Amino acid sequence: MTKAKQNYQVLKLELDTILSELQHDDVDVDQTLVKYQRGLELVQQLEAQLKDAENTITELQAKFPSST
Amino acid sequence: MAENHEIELTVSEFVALFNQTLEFAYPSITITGELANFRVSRNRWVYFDLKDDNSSVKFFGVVYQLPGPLEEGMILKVRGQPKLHNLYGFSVNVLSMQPAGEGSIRKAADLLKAKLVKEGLFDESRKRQLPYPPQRVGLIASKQSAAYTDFVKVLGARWTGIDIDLIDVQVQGEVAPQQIVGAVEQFNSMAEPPDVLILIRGGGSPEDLAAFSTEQVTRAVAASRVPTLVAIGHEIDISLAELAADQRASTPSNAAELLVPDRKHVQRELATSAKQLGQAAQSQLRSSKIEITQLRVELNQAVKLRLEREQTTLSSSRQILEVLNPAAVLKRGYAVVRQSGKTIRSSKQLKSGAIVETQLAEGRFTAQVNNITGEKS
Repeated sequence: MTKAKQNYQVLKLELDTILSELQHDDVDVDQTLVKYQRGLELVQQLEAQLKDAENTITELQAKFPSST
Repeated sequence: MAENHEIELTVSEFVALFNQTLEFAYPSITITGELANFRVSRNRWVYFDLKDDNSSVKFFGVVYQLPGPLEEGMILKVRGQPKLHNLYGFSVNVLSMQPAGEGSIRKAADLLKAKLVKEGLFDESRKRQLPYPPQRVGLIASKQSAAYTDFVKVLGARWTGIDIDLIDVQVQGEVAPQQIVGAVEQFNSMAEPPDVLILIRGGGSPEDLAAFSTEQVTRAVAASRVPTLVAIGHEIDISLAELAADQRASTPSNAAELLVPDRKHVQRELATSAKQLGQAAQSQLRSSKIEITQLRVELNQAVKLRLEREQTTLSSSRQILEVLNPAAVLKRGYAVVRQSGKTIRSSKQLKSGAIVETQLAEGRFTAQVNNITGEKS
């Protein structure tokens, strides 16, 4: 759980960096396309992790049902 | 005849015989009376008289037997041995003493309280936090008492898994203070003392509760290394031991209530916390999803804008290139003159009669050089 969270933060930081680079002309056109592709991959991975987290919450709620 | 049977003794023999007779008749005796001529000698010996309307008797004792500070006129109940001293005459040697009657008990308690307050024994700064809930409780009570039953019952109803070590003591009467002090000391000297000491007793007359306002018990409670909770009598009775305790409770049942949380209440709180935990996790997840969706939009916009900016740069370059294109210059009416494929930039490069090739915006022709003039046009 901790490792996945750490991973999420690392991926999110990379995505933020790519966005910043694209917004400030820090990369050439070839690199722009590479970065854009990497950005979309990161978005996909982050969305997958959020989906996993959502499933984990549902599983945990089933595993520890409310006693009241 | 009678004179012949009279015993003739030395003074010392008389003292010994007299004492022997007294001891046989009265091994100990309890006398109640009003305190008079009270004095303490060398901080160790105590001398006083007890009197009533018609009589007065001398008493002798030691300082540690005092129940606390005393004042002339107080009614005392003193147990002692009558003795005839070989030099100082008759007195009762004190075995134990305590104030008697509501007025004197209260007066004695007030005097003792004033003294201990001055010493700082009841200061708020001395109060320690009790462990909540404790795991091991040292209980000092009478096992036969309703106070004991109430305490154990309320404690069990609220919380479970607490070890209770009981030291069964008398909670009233002459031996009570000594037994209570002994129990406090015994718990404190254990290799693994309990987490908290509980001293309880149900309600009663001021005389019944007097043990808990004695100097010994009050000091023992104050000196306990293990934190203390004391509940004596009903709500209105406040003993000095309670004032010296880290915490006081109004009744033995209240002591149990203060000592541990109510299991049902804790369960309700936990259920609420669990619910809030789930809600917090869901909410956090929703925020993250919105954030990532927003980031995807920003990413698309950023790359689009980036390429648009590149496009703009390219267009400018194209315009500059077009301006620099030689064909554009020829269109404006200029021509390029070459000789043997080499561009001629100066008339000095030419000789009369040479054949040159001239290129126009549209088409080209050859010509012969006739007349060469100045270098500059």
